Amino acid sequence: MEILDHPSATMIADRAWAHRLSRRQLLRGAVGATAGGAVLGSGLLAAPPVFAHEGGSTVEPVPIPKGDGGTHHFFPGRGKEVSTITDFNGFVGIAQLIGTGTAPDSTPLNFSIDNRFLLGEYVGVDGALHRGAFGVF
Amino acid sequence: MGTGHVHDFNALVAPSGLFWTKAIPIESVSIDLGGVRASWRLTNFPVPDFLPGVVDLPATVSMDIEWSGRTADTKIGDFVAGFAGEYHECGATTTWSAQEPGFSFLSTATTVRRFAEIGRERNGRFFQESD
Repeated sequence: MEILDHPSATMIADRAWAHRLSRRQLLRGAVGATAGGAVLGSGLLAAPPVFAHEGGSTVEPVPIPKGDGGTHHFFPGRGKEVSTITDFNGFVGIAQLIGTGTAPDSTPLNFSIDNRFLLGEYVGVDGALHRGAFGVF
Repeated sequence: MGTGHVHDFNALVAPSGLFWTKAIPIESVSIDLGGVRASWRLTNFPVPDFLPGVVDLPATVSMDIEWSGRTADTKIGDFVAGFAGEYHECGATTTWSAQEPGFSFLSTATTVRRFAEIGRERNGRFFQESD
């Protein structure tokens, strides 16, 4: 979910810029993690492991092997894989939405989300079958 | 904040490459595929704010996404990506809020759908076994 201030006629252009920026930053961080290991100023090192939740498994899933832009996820759209985890069998939902909102001081803001849920069975990094739910934020 | 300043609430990329994905309570999701309805509700769920040029900040989000209103049905079998699924494209709306030290946001009820669908999907070894 991304928030951009000042709704205006340039919202779409600004939104596109914002989308590229955040993904590029994430990609840069991911490359750093793979190639440099310690060369990370972003939050990547702080990326939390997948946590246990009530009724769900504690075991981390495995990312899908392919994706757009060198990531392990596909952009939203007809015919695109929704799941970000592999060895998965279950229900999915995706919502790519834009809208407006406000800050506490009533400043108008734009927002954009690509949120997804994954609910079902999956094979975790331990090779065993699990049941769980995941959100993509 | 200046014009174009972005707050980016995402679950980050895990060292494994797992992208923006985080376990959620199973009970936060409700789906009625036959009725083409689903909801996903979270309250004060921890998702960091990845600000450009700044280390990610601890934050929480609350959201209520509702899917309904079938617009199209699709059935996909993609042997390159390695997945298959049956989907209902549909409408979706959300109320979305975020809180962190020094900033909060509350969406209005108005949203514009760019793409939304619910469905069943299988990939990896589940795809290989069934398709």
